[in-house]
Amino acid sequence: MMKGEKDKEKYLQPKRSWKQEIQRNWALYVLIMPAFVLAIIFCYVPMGGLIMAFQNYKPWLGITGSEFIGMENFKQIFVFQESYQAIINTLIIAVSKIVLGLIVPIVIALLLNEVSNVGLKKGIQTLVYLPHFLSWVTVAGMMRDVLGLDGIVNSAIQRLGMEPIFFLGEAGMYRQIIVLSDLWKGFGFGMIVYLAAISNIDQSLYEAAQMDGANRFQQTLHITLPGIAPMIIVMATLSLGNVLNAGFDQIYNTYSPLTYSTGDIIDTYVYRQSLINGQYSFGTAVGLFKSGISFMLTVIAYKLAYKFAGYRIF
Amino acid sequence: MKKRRAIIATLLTASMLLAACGSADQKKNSVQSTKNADGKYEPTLTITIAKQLDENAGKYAEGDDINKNPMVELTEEKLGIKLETTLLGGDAGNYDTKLRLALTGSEELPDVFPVYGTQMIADMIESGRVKAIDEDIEKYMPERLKEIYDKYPETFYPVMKDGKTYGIACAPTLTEGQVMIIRQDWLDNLGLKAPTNLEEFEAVIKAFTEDDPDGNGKKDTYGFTYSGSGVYNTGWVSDPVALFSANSGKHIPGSWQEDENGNLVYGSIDEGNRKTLELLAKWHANGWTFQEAAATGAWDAMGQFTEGKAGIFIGRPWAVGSVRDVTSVDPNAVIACYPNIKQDNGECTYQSAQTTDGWLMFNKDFDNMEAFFTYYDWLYDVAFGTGDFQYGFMEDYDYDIVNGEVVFDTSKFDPAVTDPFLPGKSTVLKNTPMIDRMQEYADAKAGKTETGAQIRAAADFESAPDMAEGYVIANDNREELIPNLYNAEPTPTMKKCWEQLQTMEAQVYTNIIYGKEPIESFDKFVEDWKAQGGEQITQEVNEWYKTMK
Repeated sequence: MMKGEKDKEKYLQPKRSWKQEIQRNWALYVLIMPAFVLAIIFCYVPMGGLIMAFQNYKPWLGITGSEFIGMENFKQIFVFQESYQAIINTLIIAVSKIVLGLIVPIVIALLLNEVSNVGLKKGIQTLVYLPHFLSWVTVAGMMRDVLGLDGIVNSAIQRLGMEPIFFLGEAGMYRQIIVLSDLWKGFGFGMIVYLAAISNIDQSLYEAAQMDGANRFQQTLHITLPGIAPMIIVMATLSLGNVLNAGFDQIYNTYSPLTYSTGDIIDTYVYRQSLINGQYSFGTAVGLFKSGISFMLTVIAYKLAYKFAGYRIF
Repeated sequence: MKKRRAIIATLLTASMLLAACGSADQKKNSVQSTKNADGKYEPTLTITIAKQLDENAGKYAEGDDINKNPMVELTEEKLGIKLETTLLGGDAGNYDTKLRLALTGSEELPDVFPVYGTQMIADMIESGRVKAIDEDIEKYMPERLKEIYDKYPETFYPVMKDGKTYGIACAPTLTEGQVMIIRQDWLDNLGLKAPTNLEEFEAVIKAFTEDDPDGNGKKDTYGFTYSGSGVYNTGWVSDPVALFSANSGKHIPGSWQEDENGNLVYGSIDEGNRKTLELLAKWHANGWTFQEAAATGAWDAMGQFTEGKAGIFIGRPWAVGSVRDVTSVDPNAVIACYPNIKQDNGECTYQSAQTTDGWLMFNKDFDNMEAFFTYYDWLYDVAFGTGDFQYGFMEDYDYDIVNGEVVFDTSKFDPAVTDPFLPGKSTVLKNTPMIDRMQEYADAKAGKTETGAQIRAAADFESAPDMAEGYVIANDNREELIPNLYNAEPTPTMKKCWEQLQTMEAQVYTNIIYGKEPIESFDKFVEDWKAQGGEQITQEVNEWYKTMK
């Protein structure tokens, strides 16, 4: 919504008091009531449990009876060198995933849009979308087979006369493998979103551009890209919320002591940490820490998107 | 007016809810039931239990369920005790969550329930919701059970606090030890003998890699498969721990054992293990061991043997059955079990003993321990081959008598059945109690086939002699099995640091073997381990250990 429109809206709708508003639209408010109540009960009330993050929670004492220990649980996140390493790994892996996961689907969608054979286009679309539905446990098994010492990649390498590489055991390659395999699995989904956005662009714009003598590349640059820009911003903003989610399933199923140094992320670290003792409080503290960071980043991204692109999601 | 009515309605609803909560507590005070002359309780006594559902619990007959099945009915008929499962968990995590919920009061805590972790035991004791049972054990536990528990005093450590005992191990017994499982045909092809120490072990795995043991002219085999994805002590299959023990004796990785002064020390930092790491690094570099061990779990590492690639692994005797498919890769494959290698001084190598799968704890309000022990002793009939259960729990279910012979193979039952209901899975325990898990094989080999266990072992000698031999070997080498002497709840420092230390340990061990770090990193690891909480933990562990002695 552009700034001008917003002013117009103000002008058209005179400000009413909330009483008048309810009298006028009560039916709508009744309709939204159930959703509102459910959101309160299932999303907001349980947030009270976040107190646990500041307690030494014991199930038999409950939230009201457990001892308060302030920021102790949060401090524990940062006590060890391993946890810093885990935070750094998380950021590197997650940011790479976000950046590549944003660019690659756009590029592929633009390329695919230029394919004129409908059958080929649909075929590719379906094929690259398929991995999205596989679970990470399955894909991790495939990765072990494909990248293993007896796997297809290594037999190719050996044919070329080189020494086989234990890919999943090389700390230096682990992050790249994680990011690329995630990309392979996920880019089909993003691509479909962009293809849908592209198909919504008014065809007359292309006709007009052709009249003006624009070639295919110029059309892509000046019509298609601006046309899907709002969608790009939505996807980017939403994905920023995941900056501390580097993908537990994927990493848990593929890492090993050899790759802890580059592959251990906050989630896997916390998982191992809480295995030996049902530490509710520590788990909650980590969850809250992650949510806090994600919330901040989402808000910032939202503000930036509005400031620079004039685009609002909500 | 309208408002007031609404308030009254709300209050009424709330009071009804409260009343509903209250009534659950009152249920307990029923008529006291007593034992009659036949040892049966009258009126029928109900004991509520908790259960973590087992994946292979067999099939219930049409209309039966966990609280209504032949075993539950038999218990009621014979003892006048009705077992009712009131808390049921799917997998281990789910079960633990439900037990913790029972502590918050949103689920009822049953009379008797198994607990599967030391932290959970500690939580139970701290919550004050479980019973100290020292007097009950003294008074009601039958003598033959006391004898069994006396053999495994360390199983009481986790359930003891301030001199009181809050539970008993679930049917403790020494789990069968691991043996060395080798491709006998490869040994024969190369004219080699099974290794008995590290030096010979090295020679054999070298030959298995370089001398083409399967004679196909290709270099597609190697010596030894193991798992290195965690602490180097898996405890069941693909275990490299015997190799470490060959240099470190009792101080094997991942285990707390006494030093010469009787203090507990952690095995992974023992100097002896450094030597084995150096060896393993050399073997890895030469390609004599499983090259992907660091990223492979115990079960999958064993697959290397099944695929005909590896010639040796160490595992429990039943693993022979799990790798038998190797004959589909190589029809000439012969699997044989051997004792583990010895230390250079001739003493045996050690491995972790497992003596219990969980502990039974009792609700503070449960007041009929006599009935429980009556029931528990009755279950043990099956292990002793006495009373109602000479061969098994129930004919037609876990055994059958065909033409006067006892059979356990359900396909030989009359009539044959597949996937029958398993009475042994329908008790307060997860598994059928056993007095021993290895001795019966030695007995059967010597021709003794009287008890159910011995008959079963004899049947194994018919169907899988290589595996049965493995059990005999495990039995002959019982002294290899040493329990981890620290088995209480994590100490305060452990709660904070243990995971970091374990991560560090796995990283350093693996990196040394893979040649990513020099062997000197081991010395730094020992220092770091002590500095980053290990020293403190060792102190706490020893303070605890003194209170147990």
